[in-house]
Amino acid sequence: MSDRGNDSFAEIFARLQRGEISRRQFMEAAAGVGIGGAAALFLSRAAGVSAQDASPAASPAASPVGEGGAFTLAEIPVNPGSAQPDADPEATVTFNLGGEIDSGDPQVLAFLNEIEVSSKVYAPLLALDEKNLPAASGAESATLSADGRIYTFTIREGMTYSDGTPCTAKNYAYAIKRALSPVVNGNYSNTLYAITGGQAWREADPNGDPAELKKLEDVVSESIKALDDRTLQISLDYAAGYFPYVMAIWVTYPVREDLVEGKGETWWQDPANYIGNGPFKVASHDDKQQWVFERNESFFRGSPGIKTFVFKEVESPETALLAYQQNEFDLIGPSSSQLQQIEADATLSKELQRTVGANTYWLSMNNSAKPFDDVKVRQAIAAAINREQYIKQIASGVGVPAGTLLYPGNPAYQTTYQQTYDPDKAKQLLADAGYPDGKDFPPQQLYYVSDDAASQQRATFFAQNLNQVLGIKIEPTPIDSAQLQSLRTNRDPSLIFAIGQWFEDYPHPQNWLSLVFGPGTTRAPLGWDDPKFNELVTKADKLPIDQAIPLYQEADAYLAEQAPVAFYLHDENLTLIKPYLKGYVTYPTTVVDTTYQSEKIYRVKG
Amino acid sequence: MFRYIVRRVLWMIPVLWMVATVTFLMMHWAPGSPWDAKSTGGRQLDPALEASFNRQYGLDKPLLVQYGTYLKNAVLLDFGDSYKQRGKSVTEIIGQGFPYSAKIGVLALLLAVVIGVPVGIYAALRHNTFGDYASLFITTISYTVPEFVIAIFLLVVFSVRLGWMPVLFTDWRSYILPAVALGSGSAAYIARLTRASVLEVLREDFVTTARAKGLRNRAVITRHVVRNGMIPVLTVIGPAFAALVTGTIIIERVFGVPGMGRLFIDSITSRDYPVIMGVTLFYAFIIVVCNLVVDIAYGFADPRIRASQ
Repeated sequence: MSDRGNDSFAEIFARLQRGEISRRQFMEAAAGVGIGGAAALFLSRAAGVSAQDASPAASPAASPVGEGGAFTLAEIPVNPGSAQPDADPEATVTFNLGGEIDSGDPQVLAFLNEIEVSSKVYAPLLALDEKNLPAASGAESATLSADGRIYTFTIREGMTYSDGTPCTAKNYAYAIKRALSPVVNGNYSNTLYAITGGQAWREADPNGDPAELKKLEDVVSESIKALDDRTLQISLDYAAGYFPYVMAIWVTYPVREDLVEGKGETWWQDPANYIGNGPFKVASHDDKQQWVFERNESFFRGSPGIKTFVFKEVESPETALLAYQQNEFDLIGPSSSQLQQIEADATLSKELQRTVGANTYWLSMNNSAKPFDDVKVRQAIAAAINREQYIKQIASGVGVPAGTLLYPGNPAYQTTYQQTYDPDKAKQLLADAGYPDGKDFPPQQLYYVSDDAASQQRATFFAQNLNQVLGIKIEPTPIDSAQLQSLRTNRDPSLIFAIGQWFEDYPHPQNWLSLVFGPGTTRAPLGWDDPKFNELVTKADKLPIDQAIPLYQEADAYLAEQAPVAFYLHDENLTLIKPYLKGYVTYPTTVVDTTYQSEKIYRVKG
Repeated sequence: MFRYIVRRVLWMIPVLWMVATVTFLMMHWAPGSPWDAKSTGGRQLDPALEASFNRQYGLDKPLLVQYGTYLKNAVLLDFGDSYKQRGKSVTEIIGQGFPYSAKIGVLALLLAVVIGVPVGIYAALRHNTFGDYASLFITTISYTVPEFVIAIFLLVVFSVRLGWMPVLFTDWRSYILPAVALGSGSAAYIARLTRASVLEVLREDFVTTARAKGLRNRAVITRHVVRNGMIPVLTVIGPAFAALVTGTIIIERVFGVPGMGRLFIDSITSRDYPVIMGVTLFYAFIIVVCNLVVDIAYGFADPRIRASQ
């Protein structure tokens, strides 16, 4: 067997994502290791045959076929920190949470610190593994109907809450349905709109006609059903390949009906109610000071390596760094402005780790207004941005140049086409568009938030950069942040040239390409409604991730080429971590994963 | 005096109503909404979700109706629930943060008075000597260096270098450095005000008369100079107390104090209307009460003021 033949499917898949192998090589390699399903589906696509024609017997990892089939779930290895020979069994570890959470209710919450807290207590229906592929969690396996609309999850046998109560399909059904309730009014309900009846119920007036509300609720109850204690069935309006990713986010955390109902919106503030099936349980909570968790010894992937997990709430990065230096913190996320100080320190520089963030920044151009209705002008702008210089001068050296919407680490990241800094090409493109050396190019305003120095620096940089390379005049213009937001929200045509960004909700390309630039979006610049792009992402959205990736990659490359916006930056996450912390799992955008595999972290004895 | 106090207390009603009305109007007229991306941490909500939030919090009703509901509830001390910290009442939020801010504020004020007044008197009595210049130099530095710099400086010296205090907010020791950082500016201000005031009183005829009558210098200073020199100081102590006990965002951020200082700024940034209104009214109430206490204290410091009241 060749070296490649020894690779796991996930590794081969990762190579494909990184662009190290072609699709054909991927299929050969996958077939070589007996992963017939995904490869067969790629081959079937290439050969123009339908998915139904591919052999369902090819692999247990096959995508939906025939009457429905097993849905591929990666396995997160059972290897808890407590089982490590060098682990300190009594370890207390303190991380910085930043600010206090506004809500710990999984069906309501929206912010990173809230996810941090709730993910200690609960385990989602599915997880994501370190390659951002759907993996087993509360559900140990899943099947998908042939039309891609009905998911059937088998809940893990013997799984319990930390108080010993069994955690069943009914609990997950209750939680997911609750996330769509108009009374709960959750912030991320719209991620579940593919569920039949979900959107109609969520957007109904909770004070409206009770009979009508009941009807809407009944539709959702029918769509999210616990067939028995171990079987959860969810029906969708349409095939949604991204759905397993949504099942891996906090909206699925199985809050318990008996601990939630009748206890108001702040039910979660009482540790007696905040009981989950996750790796930790709440020991105490001091508002705006700290959350203290104790290990949940009955966690289904084993007893966590950390006995006491503390989240202190320190908002000032300066204070957090001092506390880290004094060993009062074991892990912090320093700010970019501290990078220079950290790199100059012999100890800190060794403890610093960096990962590209799941975010992208861009210069947005009104594609329906002159001169940006000309693709050559947009491409000229994209080629004129000196991204490296921006990172050095404006971003304190933190970040990587962005040449496309998807960040490195997203399953559909591609390198086929990237926008890059090429001043000669930029000049040529602008000349081809009828503006040689910027002559007759109408002056543009680039807004910056008046009370935000960083925003002003950014606008000034782009004005100078574009003027130097293209000879065009860009005027940095101050504006109130709310007014700028209002222009964006209302898609005001007077907003010609602006800065935009997107932060990921879940690492599926649909969350980027389709939601931000796809059909019907209000997030893309005015005038961007490209039939080819829409067709690609609409097709891809319906497919399982392995089949969808080539389409998303094509769409991402096409987007970068058409340049409705000029991408310039993926921010980086900085992490300072003490060397005695071990066992942690690194994800594409996170050095120390605390969302899916925190049970693996441990502190070395001594 | 009793009638005076009752009259002043009754005056608080129109003052607070005015504050509430102006704040309500400004808050709603200011651009932006609680569901803007800026208010929701960068995430732009779908219009349907935005509508559901507006409905939940009554923001879909006419402004006049919202105002009426607000005033009616405010009279009952019900400021509603925060939009951001859902399910938590504004009273609860203020009630949780205020004790921390108040403890640090009282300590800071004590420090400011205990240091500021003697230093001011000393400087005035040693006018144009080395002691006066030295105190002037130190107070100028304390007053002009930003709180943020003082706070970090104190942390570096006492927590990192000497290791006497924890960096993070943990126990009773954690109140000391924030109080010093918060009080240093006020101490400097009080010292300078005391110095100027005492210098002015020292030049008064009644001081010359007291000395001419053969009164001992100590008696002249304590009975006449300091007592009269304290009146302007009392004037500033009222608002200073209100400002110190309601917390400051910078000090609380640096020392990780779970106080209410950051509430004001956070609520404005996130357009959390109930919290903006609640905190503004609470702050206005404390200012009004402090001013009343100061006015009463004037009477004790100077009987002529009591007579005119």
